[in-house]
Amino acid sequence: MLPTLRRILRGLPAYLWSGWGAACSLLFLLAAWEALSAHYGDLILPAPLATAQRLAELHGSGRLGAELLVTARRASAGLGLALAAGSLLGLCAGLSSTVALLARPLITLLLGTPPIAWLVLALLWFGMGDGTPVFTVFVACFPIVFAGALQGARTLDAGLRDMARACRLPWGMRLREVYGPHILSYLFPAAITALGSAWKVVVMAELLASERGVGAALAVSRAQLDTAATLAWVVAVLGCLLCVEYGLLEPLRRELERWRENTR
Amino acid sequence: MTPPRTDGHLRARGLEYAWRIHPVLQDIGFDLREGEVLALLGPSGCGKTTLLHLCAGLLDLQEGTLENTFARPAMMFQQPRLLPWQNARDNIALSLRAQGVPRGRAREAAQGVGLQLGLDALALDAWPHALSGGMQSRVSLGRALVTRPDLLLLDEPFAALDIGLKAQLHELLLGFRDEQATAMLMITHDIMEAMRLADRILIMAPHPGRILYEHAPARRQAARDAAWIHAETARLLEVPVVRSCFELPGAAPAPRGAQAPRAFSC
Repeated sequence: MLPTLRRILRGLPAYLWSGWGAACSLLFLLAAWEALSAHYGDLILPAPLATAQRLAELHGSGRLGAELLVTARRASAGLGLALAAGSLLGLCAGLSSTVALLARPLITLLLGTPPIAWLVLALLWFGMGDGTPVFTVFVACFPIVFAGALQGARTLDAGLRDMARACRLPWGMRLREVYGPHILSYLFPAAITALGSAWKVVVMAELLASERGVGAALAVSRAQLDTAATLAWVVAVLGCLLCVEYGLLEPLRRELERWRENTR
Repeated sequence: MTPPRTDGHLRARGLEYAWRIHPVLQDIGFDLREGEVLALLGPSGCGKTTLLHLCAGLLDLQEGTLENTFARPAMMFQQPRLLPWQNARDNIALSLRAQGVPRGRAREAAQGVGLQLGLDALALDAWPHALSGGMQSRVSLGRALVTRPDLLLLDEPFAALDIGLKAQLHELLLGFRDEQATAMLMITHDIMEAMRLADRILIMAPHPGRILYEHAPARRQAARDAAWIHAETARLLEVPVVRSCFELPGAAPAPRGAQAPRAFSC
């Protein structure tokens, strides 16, 4: 544990320094936004500063945090359920070639069904409460995670499996050190893709089917033709996504997949 | 600490094996005793690896009997089969940890074996994909040796190594055998390597794989110099049945089935 912590702390300055590239591209985006805003005017596209000001107002009134919290809670509930069910069922399906064969067309169907169709169904089933966005997020993320876990279980290396048997590795060790890292290398990218979908889908679900959350706030700002507030909410959601991605998932991915680096 | 010696042997009688309807092995029989080095020679596809996997318990027996009384068998595969997410040291330590040895002690032992095999600290810290083919082979050999096995099953262990390193590892393996009476069943394509290391050489013919010739080099390993090995190899390659096994130019087809009793030479 201690060496891992030491390694992470040692790598922190380099990681933060590597953020300059991302900061650079974001600043380019801001510049383009500013230019477009100057061209089209505040009603169509408010300037970044005006949006930031609106964001600060929302923060000051306490709405920003409260609505983000509601959205984050729904997104994480749906994503958490999808991760748990998707990885478990995906692994089980991957262990049998027959089940994997049967599951494939179903996954294609699930992946191809637009979330908006599920949303309408969910509205009928769960009404305007938390259930609708959580279910929609779950159903949008589940096939992504399921496919990742299935692929991971299907591609287990028979050579490594024989090696584990020849070395008489106990079952716990086999799962932890032979099968686990392999499956994780498939599951982790799937989970990151699912996270992106979860945020998008939850906002969409709230926009159409909820009175709370960022999506509902977006619906209000649209009704009031408040473009600055709309952009402020979008910026807030994207900011959260960037924080989770670069503050948590990317460092975690680097730590878990250190072995992919070219060290020599 | 030298582990206790076990009065081990590996005895195969009438082994037959088939992939679906294709016979791979036919009437295989041999004995391997404690401290003995047995080399299996034969052309590609003659079932040597299948035979080794049967001995390792990785394939289920179909016909015949296989009695293995060795307590600590270890195997080195044809491909290194290293865990890509563990560095070389941890890969070597893996088989020791499988026996319940704590990680720290297993790593220390792995370091010692790695150094013996010519892997420095930098190589032991590296991920497998960053190592050359020869280094990966040595890590794989280290993983087999670190448990101080009483039976070593080796599938072309030195195929990816240069001749200098090969010679060093030959010495190391023989030293290991003298010190711990480890029995070795080794597959190789290199007749001179078999002549250098083996107490007995079994030569197999393909389609289906069967043992047609057995050769026991006259000298002890310590007395086998390069000139003797070259001369003996040349003599072995003049034996008609050996030429047939390898389907060398001008050789008669290898005898089949009941007409193929095993020939011996010493």
